Amino acid sequence: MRAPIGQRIRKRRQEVALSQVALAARVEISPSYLNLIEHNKRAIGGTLLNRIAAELDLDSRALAGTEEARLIAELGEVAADSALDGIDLDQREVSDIVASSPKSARAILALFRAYSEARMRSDLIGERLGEESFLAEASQQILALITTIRSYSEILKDHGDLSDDERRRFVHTLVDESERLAAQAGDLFDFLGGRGARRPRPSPREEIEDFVSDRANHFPRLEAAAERLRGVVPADDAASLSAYLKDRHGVSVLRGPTQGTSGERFETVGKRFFLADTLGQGSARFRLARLIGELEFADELDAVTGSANVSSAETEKRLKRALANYFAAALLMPYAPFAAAASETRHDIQRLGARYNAGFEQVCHRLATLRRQGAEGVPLHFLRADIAGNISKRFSASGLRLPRYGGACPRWIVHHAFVAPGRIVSQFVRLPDDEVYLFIASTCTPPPGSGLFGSHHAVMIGAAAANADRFVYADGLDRENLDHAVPVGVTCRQCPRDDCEQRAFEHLPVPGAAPMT
Amino acid sequence: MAEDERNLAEALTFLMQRAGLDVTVARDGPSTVETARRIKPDVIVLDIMLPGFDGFEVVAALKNLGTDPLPRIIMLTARGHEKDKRKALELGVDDYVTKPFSNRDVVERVQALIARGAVE
Repeated sequence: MRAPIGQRIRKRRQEVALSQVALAARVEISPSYLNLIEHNKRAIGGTLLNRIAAELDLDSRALAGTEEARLIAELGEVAADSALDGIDLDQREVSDIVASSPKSARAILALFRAYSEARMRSDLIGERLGEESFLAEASQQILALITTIRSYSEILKDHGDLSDDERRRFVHTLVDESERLAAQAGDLFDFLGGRGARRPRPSPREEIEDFVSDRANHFPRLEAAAERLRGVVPADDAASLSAYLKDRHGVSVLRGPTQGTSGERFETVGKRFFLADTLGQGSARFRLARLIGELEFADELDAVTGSANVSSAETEKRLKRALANYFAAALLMPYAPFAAAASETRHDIQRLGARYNAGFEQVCHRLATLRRQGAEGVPLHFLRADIAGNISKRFSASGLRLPRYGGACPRWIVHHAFVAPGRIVSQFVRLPDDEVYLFIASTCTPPPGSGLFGSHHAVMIGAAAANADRFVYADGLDRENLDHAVPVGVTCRQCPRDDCEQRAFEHLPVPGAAPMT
Repeated sequence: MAEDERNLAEALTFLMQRAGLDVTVARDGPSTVETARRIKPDVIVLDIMLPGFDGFEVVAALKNLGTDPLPRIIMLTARGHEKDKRKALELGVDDYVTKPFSNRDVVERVQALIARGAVE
């Protein structure tokens, strides 16, 4: 389902009183092709989109409707959920809702999110009782309040020689703490009973994904910070970065036995950064770069994080860490040379990894951030899944919709990567709407000493088949005959391929969905 | 005493002072470490859930900083989980009390640790 870019182009063209023929001439395409674009029958992106945006005096990102595309994709997924069975929300209506009232679309998604969360809670409430963070936190506060009340009660009982002032003060405290206890207990009962339930909100991961997606996974402020620092620090090896941390920030870097579950530990008081000695040069360099970002560019990280307006302190903390990781990647894989290398090697991830001393996931993630206006790389999607198919990271600029509320199509090569660990595998796929993509995937081995031993992930990137020539991974595939592309869907619920032997869930047909060809 | 719950800290301070002990209160992890370095207490009554960094990190920081002698430490926590207790004892913490505790119990344990320190 495409974002309504065509409608926006037509509307804007009419606003500026430009004929279709005139605009087509200015951007050097045929009027009939522009007509197809305006009726959303042709995908548009890259240079042509920028040219049309320039002619219509619009920001290309606004024209592309990055957020709208996400809203449409998500609403499409919601429309296919069994909860809406019988409502028959078709694709055109979904598109219309987003185009005419993005707020309504956001409201529907917020309600669906609340519904999904409630459904998940009811499924998991039994096993989560002991782990639920709200419950854990609430029970700790209640215990602390009971302890305080008990303490003051004992004091009043055991110490008959208290002064009047002390006695008055302690009784006041007892009353205050009792009121706090009553309020806290009320919250807890509300939570357990489900009445007055807390406002459901997206999980930290969802909030971060939405923010990153709406910013097209590109943060010019952090890129600029990394480039400024790149002129000062030779970031080519861990020793240079360690020396910089010592000189500029007084931080001593110490290599030693495994450090907890993350392979690192930073002591703010002693200004010491412990790194597991088993971490390879690439992993150590990345962590040092991230720490430099956190120490030296705290203002930039705060500003970008602040602009996200996230709903909880936990999300803020995680987003800041994600942005610090972004900074580290930008420092170690500088935009312009990295983009040039990607183009020159035809996105050979192994060669890029060797050149920049980075792992498969790091290189893929950096490739997906090459969205600088005027110097864009190939629009990619990025997805990370575990061995059970759970998706833990996702971003899409390629036009492919990635599932948000469930697992992806089992025929996607990201799952097959686990059968050939460590190998880079690729496939051409054809979606039910006949769009064809190149998918590239591999498993990721956690660095020794990172504390992640035993965690298995696979990462997949991909691009529209029109860009396949720009990837070495298309070379072994049948590029000439894309009719042989593997027929896939996005999720089983939305996929009309009834003959699929890997179907896990029934298809819930949505009127107006792309017909099977 | 490292305790961020102001009223609880005040109650315990009152009782300890009544028992003849000299008490200084810190309300978060970093200031606990700084205060401990400065005044070298005999005993730290240490809440696990402290702002800044938690009780476990306070103990680790004191050890890493080579604080000598390391004060006796009683962990004070609302958690009753065995794994926290194990972790505390593995870190070399001397004693561990789970909320809700009795005041008298805590004061007696502090006095016992001070007496043990005096004998050693």
